[in-house]
Amino acid sequence: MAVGLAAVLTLGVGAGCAKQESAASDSTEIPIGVDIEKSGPASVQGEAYERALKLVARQINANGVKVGNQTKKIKLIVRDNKSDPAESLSVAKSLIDNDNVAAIIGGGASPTTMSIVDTVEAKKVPLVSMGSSGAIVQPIDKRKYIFKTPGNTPVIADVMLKQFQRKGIKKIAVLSVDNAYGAAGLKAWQDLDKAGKIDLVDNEKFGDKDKDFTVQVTKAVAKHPDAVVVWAIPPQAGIAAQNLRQAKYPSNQVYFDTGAGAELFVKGAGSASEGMYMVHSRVLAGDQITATTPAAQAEKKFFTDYSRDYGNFSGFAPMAADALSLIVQAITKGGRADRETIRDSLEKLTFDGAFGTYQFSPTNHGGVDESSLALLVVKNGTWTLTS
Amino acid sequence: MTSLAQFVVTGFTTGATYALVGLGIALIAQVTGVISFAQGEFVMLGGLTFALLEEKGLAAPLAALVAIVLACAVGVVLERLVLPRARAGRTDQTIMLTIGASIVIEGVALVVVGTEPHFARPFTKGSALSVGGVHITPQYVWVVAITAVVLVAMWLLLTRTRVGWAMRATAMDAEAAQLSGISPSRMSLIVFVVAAALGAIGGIVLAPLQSPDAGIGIALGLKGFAAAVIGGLGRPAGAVVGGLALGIVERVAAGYLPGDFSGYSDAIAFALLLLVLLVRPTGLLSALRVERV
Amino acid sequence: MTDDASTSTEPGTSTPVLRVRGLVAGYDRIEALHGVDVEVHQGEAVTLIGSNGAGKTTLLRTIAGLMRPWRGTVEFLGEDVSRWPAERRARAGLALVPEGRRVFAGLTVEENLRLGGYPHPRSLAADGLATVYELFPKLRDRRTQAAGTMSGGEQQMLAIGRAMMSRPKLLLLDEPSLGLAPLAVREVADALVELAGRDTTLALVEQNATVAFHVARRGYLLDRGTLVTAGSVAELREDPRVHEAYLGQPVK
Ligand SMILES: Nc1ncnc2c1ncn2[C@@H]1O[C@H](COP(=O)(O)OP(=O)(O)O)[C@@H](O)[C@H]1O
Ligand SMILES: [Mg+2]
Repeated sequence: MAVGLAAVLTLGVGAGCAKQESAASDSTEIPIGVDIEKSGPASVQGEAYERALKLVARQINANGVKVGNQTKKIKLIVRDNKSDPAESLSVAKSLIDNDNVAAIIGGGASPTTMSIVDTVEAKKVPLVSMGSSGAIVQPIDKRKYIFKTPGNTPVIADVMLKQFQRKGIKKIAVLSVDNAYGAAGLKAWQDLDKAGKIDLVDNEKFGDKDKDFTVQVTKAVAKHPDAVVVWAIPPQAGIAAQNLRQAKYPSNQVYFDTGAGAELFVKGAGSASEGMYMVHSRVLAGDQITATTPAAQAEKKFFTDYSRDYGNFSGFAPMAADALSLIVQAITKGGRADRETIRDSLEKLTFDGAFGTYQFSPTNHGGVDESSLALLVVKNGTWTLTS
Repeated sequence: MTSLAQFVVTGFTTGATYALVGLGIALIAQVTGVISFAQGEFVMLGGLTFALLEEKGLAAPLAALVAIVLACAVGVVLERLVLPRARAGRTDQTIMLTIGASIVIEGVALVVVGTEPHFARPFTKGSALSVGGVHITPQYVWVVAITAVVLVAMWLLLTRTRVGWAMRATAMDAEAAQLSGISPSRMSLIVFVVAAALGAIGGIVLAPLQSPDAGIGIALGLKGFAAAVIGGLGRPAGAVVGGLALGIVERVAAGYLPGDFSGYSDAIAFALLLLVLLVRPTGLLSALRVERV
Repeated sequence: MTDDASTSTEPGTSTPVLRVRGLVAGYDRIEALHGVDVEVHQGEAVTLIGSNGAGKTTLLRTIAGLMRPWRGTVEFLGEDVSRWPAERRARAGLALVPEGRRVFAGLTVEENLRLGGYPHPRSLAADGLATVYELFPKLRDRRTQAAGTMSGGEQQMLAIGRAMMSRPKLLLLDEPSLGLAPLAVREVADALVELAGRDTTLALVEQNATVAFHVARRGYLLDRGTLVTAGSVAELREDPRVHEAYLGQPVK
């Protein structure tokens, strides 16, 4: 075991060293910190993020980043927050204090972002998160440095709501993971319930390490909702789909948030996913996109590149890809790579990314706009755009 | 009422895996005096290897066989590490060693397989049966049936075979067993391999229901430990009952708590463990050397 | 080595079944045996007497392999077994009936006996069982009873029977009379005499000199880890050091 442990440590340390040496810190490099879930319950996201970031960094560094009259390279400093909010905070602090990063990408989810926003804000470091909770970027006067790529939770809920209204659906049950991410989803529906837009007949939570939701599903289905909305990431999202199918709940009444994670979700849920819905960027149906607009072109290109490099696509990948692209755009537009310039420049940015279109402003730091989001449905085992 | 039945059925399925892990822990504790916190990793190894090979297109029975053999091989390595310390009477060190081994096994799995969960198909196709409003998927039936077969096989092994007798004798009085020509180190090796196989089987039957990933072992090891302690570490049958009870209590509690709290089923499991330890504070230690198997 | 089947009462005339040379053993840093030499020959019944704490149990446990000698050797049937684990010695025919009997309490009488025959193929078990039941008819009546629920005397018979099941070439017994009712002591002693009469090679450790001298022909006196004297039972009976060691306990 000692030998095994040593081997693992050497591997880890070795990889770390290689990373740092290849991007030795000098003025021709822009250090960007990455605080993501390389292990723990949300590691599925972390892995896709890291792949996407490396892909985008490689493409950007091929030509370099124009900063004023200099050409610089991006240096990613990737750290594992173990899907743990407390760990994420120490990762962020270390990135700021020890690595002196120009900006931070992360956390990869709402729980690991919520724990760091106050510190990052106080230290005046621009942050682009892949967490979806609206609380990440609000209230805006306390989130001057904080941005995110996923659409705001209420925006996602709104896409579903429109479908419910079309179908005349009123009675909703919500299944959500018991953390900041799931809580944001639940709150969006509770607000819609209060506003009288829907009737929230039941809400059930589960722990972020649970792998069986038969109990929650049984309770929710017993209330006879017209639709079940699930706020979870893989593999939990896939298991929830299976449990719903097993309870004979109709698939075409099941809706997942963006977090359900696309390919992996279909793989995990298996045939149970057929007919279920998810709100996500159009990029997921990448091969079905007709690339006429610049936005659609960016989406399609990323889909193709990522699928080529890694074999299959991940719905999480574009969120991280855009986080890096946004920062690089901000640097190019601002002409400088310091923290203040990046922040100021991000706030004025309009950008067509792999995940969708961003229109940041002093009052909106909150991710892709509603026009980038689509309701997708699993048809013959792949995500398909609904008309 | 239907809901309650559904929760019990579901709990029984999850509990079956706890039972297999707990049984392994109890057997190891009995025969070697070591409390292994690494047993959950064999569920991970078994389940993950099975799912991975199945994804790669290997026939399910073959994938299961490879998964079990791999788990057993790791069981042998674990035993070789732990035994010298156990022999020297350093039980404190053996516990730390098993925890360390658990972390290393998980680490190696992460390096080799990555963090992604893997997905195994249910053993047989078909949709859930509805028995009086209770939904039972074919995989549930498989879990319960295979667990039952394994438990009966274990019982036969322990009571009807020479090796089983020798294991029980070693558990009752290792020195007296030695005087009858039984090698305690051989028994130790056998019991670690058997426990590894039990865990792997638990992981394999559960894989189609709960997509395994490299990180599931530690929590399952703790649940198995709780199962073994709740049942009284001394009695393998107790560990089985403890595991099933734990699974059922967990699900039923989650079922009857308000929706806002249904995420706390883990806490409930460990509260149950604490309760047992409080009510029977001597249970843990005194049960270690009881005579019955 | 076992060709000389005559009941040799004098040590050194043939390869002994057991030869212990210069044995030093103990616990942690406490030396309990300070260089002990013992020989047991084919077919003889030898006793090792000594007061409480003399080191008798330590000697037997070291011979059986439950403890490692610090120095010195244990030879069994001409082979140096000093480094063999206990189970290997047991398989080679060196059987110890341990102090305190140590039967498998949760198992039945017959299961205990069958475990005793563990080194041998199952086919030999029936034969072994018949022999044991003949020697201890009481055990036959209690075949299916849990061993832990029997009286001390019955458990002692079971412990001896279990050792016999392994078809030992040497039977070591550690205070079989300890803690038994007088009637049970008698029964056990008679069984041992019977075994000795059947050419079983045995070494009996006893504090109870009456039993020891009843069973054995020859003996050693052990005192505080050292052999004080050796000789025939007749000689030992008269030896004042034996009387001294037993501190007034009557020696008949
Ligand atoms: N487990 C032990 N640890 C330490 N000392 C022991 C242990 N067992 C016996 N002794 C000591 O070793 C010596 C010999 O003991 P033992 O062999 O049991 O004597 P006997 O069997 O003749 O009564 C005694 O002084 C005893 O106190
Ligand atoms: Mg003694």
